[in-house]
Amino acid sequence: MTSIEKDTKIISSMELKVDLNSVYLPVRDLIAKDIQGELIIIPIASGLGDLESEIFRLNETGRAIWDKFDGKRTLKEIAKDLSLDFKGCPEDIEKDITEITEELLKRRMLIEVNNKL
Amino acid sequence: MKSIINSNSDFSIVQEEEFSISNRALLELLQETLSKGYSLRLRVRGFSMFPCIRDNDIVTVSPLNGCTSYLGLAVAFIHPHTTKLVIHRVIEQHEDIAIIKGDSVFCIDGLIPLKNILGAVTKLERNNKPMRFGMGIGRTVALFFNKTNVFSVLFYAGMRFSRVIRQAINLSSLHE
Repeated sequence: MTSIEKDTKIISSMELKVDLNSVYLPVRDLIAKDIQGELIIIPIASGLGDLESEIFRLNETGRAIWDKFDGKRTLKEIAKDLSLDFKGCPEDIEKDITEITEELLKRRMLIEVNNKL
Repeated sequence: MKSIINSNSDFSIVQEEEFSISNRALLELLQETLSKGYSLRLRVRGFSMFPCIRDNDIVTVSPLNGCTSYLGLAVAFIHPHTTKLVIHRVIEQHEDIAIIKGDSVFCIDGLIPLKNILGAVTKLERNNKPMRFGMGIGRTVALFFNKTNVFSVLFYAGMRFSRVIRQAINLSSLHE
């Protein structure tokens, strides 16, 4: 493995590490539009949105998480909020939030704002 | 369609590989994208802009960014009667309305308020290859052919010719 490959691997594993005490915010370069109850997300690259290659759809509950990424609350706080809204077990909700955050980070749709704790 | 999060989860994000979207949804996405100053790359369906834009071509629609002369441009606009998203060419422009018409159709779309024009086609791709798309002199040539119905006549003559050929083939296969 070359040093560049090593570095890339280290960076990508760092980027994907989701911390429940961290705060996340959707990136500015994307279009998120509510269409017929679902959230359609189009990432923007070099000023261009591409319906032919990259488009994502969040269902109603996925959207509920997305809406809570306000750059102020930690994932733990979001999970607590959602456990009230969805009357679910907080641990399960934390697990779901961690998974979805990981996916959104991987697709560069979210950024970590800071570490609150 | 590929599910990214496992299906047991209540929360899901799905990446669309073949995105099927209604005209209304496409219109909303285009409006949102252009209003933020971004361009949108999308697949077009239909033959009304043949031969310049063909069925299944991919176009990039960009914001007009203060452009005041739309004459000859292939524009994405909201049809005032059907409220559908259409891509056709501006053939005349007056103070606050434009006359818009598809390259291969004989009828105009009507008098379209300029505020209904969302953006212009700036790039064209066919079979994964970028195509030259008339933005300079090509825009004037396409405008001339549109206004004189040359494209429409050729398109309908071609359609008729292919129908005659198909009928002839069907007849000969019946005789065999």
